[in-house]
Amino acid sequence: MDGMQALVVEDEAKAATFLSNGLSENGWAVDIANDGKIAWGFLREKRYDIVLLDVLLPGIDGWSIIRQMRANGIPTPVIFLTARDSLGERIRGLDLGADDYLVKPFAFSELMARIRTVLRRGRDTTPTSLRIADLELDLIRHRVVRRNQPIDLTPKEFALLLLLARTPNEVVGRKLIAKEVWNMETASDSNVVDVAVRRLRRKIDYPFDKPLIHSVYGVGYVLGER
Amino acid sequence: MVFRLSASYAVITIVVLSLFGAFLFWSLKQSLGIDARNTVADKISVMREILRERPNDQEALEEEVQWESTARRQSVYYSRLLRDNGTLVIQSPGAQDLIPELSRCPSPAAENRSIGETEEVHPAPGRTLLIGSAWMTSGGAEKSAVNGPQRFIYTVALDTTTEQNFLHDYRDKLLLVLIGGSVVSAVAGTYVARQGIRPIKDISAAAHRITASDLAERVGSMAWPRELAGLAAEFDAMLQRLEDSFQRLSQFSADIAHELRTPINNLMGEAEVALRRERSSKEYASVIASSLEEYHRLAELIDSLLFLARAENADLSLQKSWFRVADELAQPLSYHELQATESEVTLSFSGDARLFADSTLFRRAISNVVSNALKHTPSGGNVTVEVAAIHDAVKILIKDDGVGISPEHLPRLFDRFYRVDASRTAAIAGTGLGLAIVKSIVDLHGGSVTIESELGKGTLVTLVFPVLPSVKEEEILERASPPSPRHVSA
Repeated sequence: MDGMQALVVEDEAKAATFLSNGLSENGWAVDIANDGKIAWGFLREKRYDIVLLDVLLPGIDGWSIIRQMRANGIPTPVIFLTARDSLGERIRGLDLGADDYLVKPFAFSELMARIRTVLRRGRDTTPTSLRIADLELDLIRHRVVRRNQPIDLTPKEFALLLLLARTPNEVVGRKLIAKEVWNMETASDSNVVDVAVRRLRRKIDYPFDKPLIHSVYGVGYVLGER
Repeated sequence: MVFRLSASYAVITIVVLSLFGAFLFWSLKQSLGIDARNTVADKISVMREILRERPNDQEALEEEVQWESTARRQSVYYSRLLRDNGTLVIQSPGAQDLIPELSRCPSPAAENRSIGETEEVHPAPGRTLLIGSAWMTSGGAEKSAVNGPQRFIYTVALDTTTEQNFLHDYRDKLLLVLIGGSVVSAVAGTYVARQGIRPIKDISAAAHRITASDLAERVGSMAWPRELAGLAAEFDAMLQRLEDSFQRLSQFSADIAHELRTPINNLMGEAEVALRRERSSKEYASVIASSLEEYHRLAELIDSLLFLARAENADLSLQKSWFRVADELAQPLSYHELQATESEVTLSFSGDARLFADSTLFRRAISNVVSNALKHTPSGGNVTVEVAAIHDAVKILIKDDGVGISPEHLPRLFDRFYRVDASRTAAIAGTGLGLAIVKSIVDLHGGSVTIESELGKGTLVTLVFPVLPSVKEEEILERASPPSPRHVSA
């Protein structure tokens, strides 16, 4: 994600700061706009790779900004961030040309995952295999090999590994894991994810000297070399 | 409404009284008129008789015209006998002032008619005469050829002043009755309308007294007319429901506040203690990670509350579709399987059925119950999920042989924030909304959920999701193959 430009449109200072910090640490260059007018000024001057847009803003609101953007032919992907999540609002946001819609409160790791998905869209490069250090995933045959040693995984274990492998070196939250792997919209027992990851580690990491799956205390898990 | 009702009463009374009065007056006048005409006709026929039978009997003539007429106490009449050339033969005393000239009298009736036109005249104010005339011929033809038969005009003026006065009097009384009746009926109508409407006013007054803080007001205890008793009862029932839901709502807000206290307290405490002195980054990380856990708990609480609020407001649109229960439950059960093996509990699944429901909500409901069952089943125990298609519904039985629930808790298990163990510090964490959500999901689908339990033996939760008949028909229609295209011959 290095060299990418993001615009954070958010009137709440704390939220703007943590979004900006989080994105910067992931290699993004970030501009912050506290209201709609400033945001529109930025959007006319610079090309961004992503816009994170709060709906309720002083001055021009989020709906108007995206309408103005699309009317002026600015194609930058937009992710709405809002505390309102009625179905009608979601539909409205997407109808206006938003690329995604994230309801507060959200996990930062989830936001990063959404950003990646939005950016991947359009490029349309579905890899047939993934390689992280000495670990290889064959996405077609659902086979996993580490150091030329095939590893036998259950379908769920493979799905979990794939989720982590798609975003190497980035933290994936427990909630997102529960949602992506088991389709659990609300998982109150996130220790189930821990159990699943522990089992995966037994197969992926324990037989080898260098662990690839790391836990990030309180947040989730990350796949990569440390 | 009082005005409208009483005005209607008054108008109806006035119209009815007027019609009756007018009819009575008219019929009385008619019969009096007929009487008078008959009397006049009588007099005419008497005179004809005299002239025909005894044309030269001056005495009889005088008696009839001069004495008989005005000597009577009732039906006083005046008469005048003229020859056809207009010369006076004889007339009653005073007749010259009362009977108008011949030209102004109604035209005389022909010989063969007993009476012709009659006319009322008023020679003086308050005096009424009914005048009628007739042609007649004397019988002198046989006895005196010289004089030959002679033609006369006989005019009778019947004094009808008494009748007229009587009629006028009658009319005045009728008018008096009409006016009086109208006033009385308007007043009485207003009173009756007020009386009739008073219960409604009482009910609205009761409604006015009700505020959100005091929903205890009831109207059903008062004595209501039969028509309003139902309304009053409905009103009370509505109040009862409102009071209940208000009570639940305020209890609910109190519960929410209480629920929020615990994580906020943890967060405040941890953060404050962490900041009291310099710490290693590892220590900071641990505090932040621990707060993140609390944040997740809060976020989940908010999600659950929002879900329940929407379910209650029917703001939640169900995305129903047909699915196989086993297919839909495979993922959540594989999730809970991990939980189960970790705590050495056997989780088994059997049966299958087709169901038309919102699959996401369905999974959520089952998952909540299974998760609960696993939490309350110690290692070595069993949790079974059984699916059975019954008549027009699908039954899902989730059974465990865990710790069970004592009977006093059973009725309140589906209440929000209700926990069997009062303290949150219990090893089993949760928002206390899991079963409330299960119930609201089942309710949204028009189904039911029941729970049976015995302490130390285990718990059985039964969820019933109905398969609606209309939906069945739809499915049949969907499955039916489309009609084969017909060839149309040209």
